[in-house]
Amino acid sequence: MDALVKDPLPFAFPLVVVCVSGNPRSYVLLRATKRYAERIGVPWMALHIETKKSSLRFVEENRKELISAIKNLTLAEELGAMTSSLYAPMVEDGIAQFVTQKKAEGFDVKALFVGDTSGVPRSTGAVSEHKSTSPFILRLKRLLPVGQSIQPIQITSHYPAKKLKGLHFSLRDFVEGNLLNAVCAVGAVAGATLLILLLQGIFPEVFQSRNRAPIYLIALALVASRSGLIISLATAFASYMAMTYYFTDPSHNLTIDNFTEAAGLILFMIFAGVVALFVSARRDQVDRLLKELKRFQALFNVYKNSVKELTYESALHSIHRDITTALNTEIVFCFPSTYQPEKLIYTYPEKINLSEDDDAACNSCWEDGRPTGFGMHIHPKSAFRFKPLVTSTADIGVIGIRITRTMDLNPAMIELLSSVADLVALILERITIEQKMEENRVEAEREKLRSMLLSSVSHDLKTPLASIIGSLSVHQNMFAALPEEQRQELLANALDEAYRLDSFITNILDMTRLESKQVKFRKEWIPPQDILRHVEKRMKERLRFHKLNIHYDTMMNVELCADVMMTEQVIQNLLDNAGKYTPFGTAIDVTLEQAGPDLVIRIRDYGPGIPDDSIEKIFDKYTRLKKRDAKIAGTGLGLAIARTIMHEQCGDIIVANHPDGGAIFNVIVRNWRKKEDNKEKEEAA
Amino acid sequence: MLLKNKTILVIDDTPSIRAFLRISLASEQAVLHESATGHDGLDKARIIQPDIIILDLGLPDIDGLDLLPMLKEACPPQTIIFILSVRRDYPMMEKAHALGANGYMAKPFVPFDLIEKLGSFYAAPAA
Repeated sequence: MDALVKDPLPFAFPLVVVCVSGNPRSYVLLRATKRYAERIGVPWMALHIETKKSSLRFVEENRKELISAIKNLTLAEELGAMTSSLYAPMVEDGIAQFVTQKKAEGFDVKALFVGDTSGVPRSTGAVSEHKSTSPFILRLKRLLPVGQSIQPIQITSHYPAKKLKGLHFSLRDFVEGNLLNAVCAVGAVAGATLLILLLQGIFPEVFQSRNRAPIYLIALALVASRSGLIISLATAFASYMAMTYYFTDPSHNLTIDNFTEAAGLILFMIFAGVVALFVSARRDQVDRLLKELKRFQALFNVYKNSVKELTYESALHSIHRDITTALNTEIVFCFPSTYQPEKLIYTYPEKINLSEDDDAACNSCWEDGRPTGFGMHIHPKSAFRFKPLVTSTADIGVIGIRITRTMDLNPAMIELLSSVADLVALILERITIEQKMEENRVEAEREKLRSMLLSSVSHDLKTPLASIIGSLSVHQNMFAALPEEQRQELLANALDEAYRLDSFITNILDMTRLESKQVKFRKEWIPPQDILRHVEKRMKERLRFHKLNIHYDTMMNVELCADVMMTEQVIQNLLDNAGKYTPFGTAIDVTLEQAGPDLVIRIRDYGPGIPDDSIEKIFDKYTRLKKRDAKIAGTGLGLAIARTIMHEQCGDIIVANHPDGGAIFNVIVRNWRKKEDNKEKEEAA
Repeated sequence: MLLKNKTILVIDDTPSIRAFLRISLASEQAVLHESATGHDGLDKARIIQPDIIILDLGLPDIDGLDLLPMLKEACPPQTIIFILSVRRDYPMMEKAHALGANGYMAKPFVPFDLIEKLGSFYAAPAA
């Protein structure tokens, strides 16, 4: 570098330089520079000069300025510029240093674009040909090498100049907002006068002329501390006139006829003005802090309220409500189509009026992945400022915020809008991650269940098959050597297991058919005894090691409206279940009772009962599968099938443990009638 | 008759499987003991110290793979533990071997294949 400085190249590379600051309107400069550079076909460079402000109170402002400047440099890069940043005590010094250095490196800075805020408001972005009177420009000209051209660009705000901080003296404020303060001011002057009169009456020696003024000044300070400048000055004037009228010789006279009195009035006015300005400046500072605090609180509330939301739809609703309220403006979210990711189709809220400019700005924001719309160089006519919603992995959509007339689009506000966009992206990313986690969890659970089902079904099918194949192969190969008794045992076992296999397959098929609604129920009126007799006959062999007691004496003269085969299947499955889970030799009682409007077929066993935490789970068709390779015969579908059948017939199965031990399965039948009723109905018919 | 006088403990909860194993192993003159549950099998193994344990993995009270190390601990090292299971997958077989099983046969099976496999543990090594 030093060598270059010492020995400049014999020819110069043309370069256009633009100096940007943290001013959000710097894009105007960038756009103008880009246009100019492209027109003359020269590369361009964006320069930022970082300066250090001496006062500590500017530290926070400096930080914001720096962030904003970095954004401007990023934008410059996006527009095709090279970028550079320098540190200098003053901006002018930094620019001059940079230009000098570039010249030494062999560059010819064809044009130097700088912002000029001194001129009269005019159309933004126009290269100013006027002779700028800005002290900044004048000083810069003095520092730059001779002949270096400067292109000052007018940067104006869309809004009128900001009110001078700390002053509240508009007539409107006085008429509307401070009317109450005006009344208070009159009261304060009157009160001070009355107090002096009162104290003068009580302590005539103490309250002489020199002690009266402080009382008026106290009243004045009180008024100035809560009112604007005009009221404070008016109060000062009124106070002094009251003092003159009541307590200055000649009394009851408002004339100020000498220099001393005029000086007193002026001092009163100065005092009022100083207090008003000082208090007002402080109040303004506090107001700004409060405003910022409220914004942060609003953002925090947005996040807090969205935490419980689990879907995009509900989160957007919550975020939209909170941000709309916090910023008092309109917010719109746009998302791409699943099938055409390059197009934005989904908008929340749906009922929002977007102009053509808004639409164009929104789409441009999505396509280019950078802010567009109001206050930006891309589609500035839009009433919305659009920002891409960027997550750690991708751009997921666009947020649009309507910039209203009451919004002050200063760096703090721009930073806030960025924070809003980042926050929304963060919230939506959280939801996406949570949804994916939930999907993965469900998928893992489904896979686990599928594996368990496969394992259980293979167990339930292969165990009886193993018994059948084993028994028959022994029977076949050892036929001659085996006594008749063992041959019979082998054959009986093979037959039993074949039945068991049939039962498993039937259950699986039944459940499949029931779930796919392929089963047609043929309902008919039938006495419960008939159903139970059929089942008893069929289950006699299977329950040969239990005492099956069907109490026909409890059977009333009733009929059920049910599909006979399916209802038999229900009772059979329940008896089969009782047989499997109770010790050999115990009883299984079946009774019929009426419980309110329902008829109940009650099946009670005398086994260990059902653990309380499993009472409802036993009807879950996968319950038994959750055991690690349970060996109790059955696919675990029997109870699930029974309950499904009863539900299909408008009934139910309710299970409970008996206080004296064992489980009770109550088959609830809702569609039943007494036989006499039937006859009566038939006769009536 | 390689299994002659060998003490065999069958731990399987399916009565019909125990029945045909009992009949077929009796023809080999083996001494057979039966258990329908894992815990009962473990108790019996401790007492009778069998030469061979035929263990089903799917037991009602304990998983066979959990029982396997307990049986290894309860029995002398020469005890052969042979696994019967409907689970026909290599990871399961490898796991059983890693836990100390000497053999593995998937259900359904022909009892004479089992007898042949068990006999191979006692066959004289080929010259």
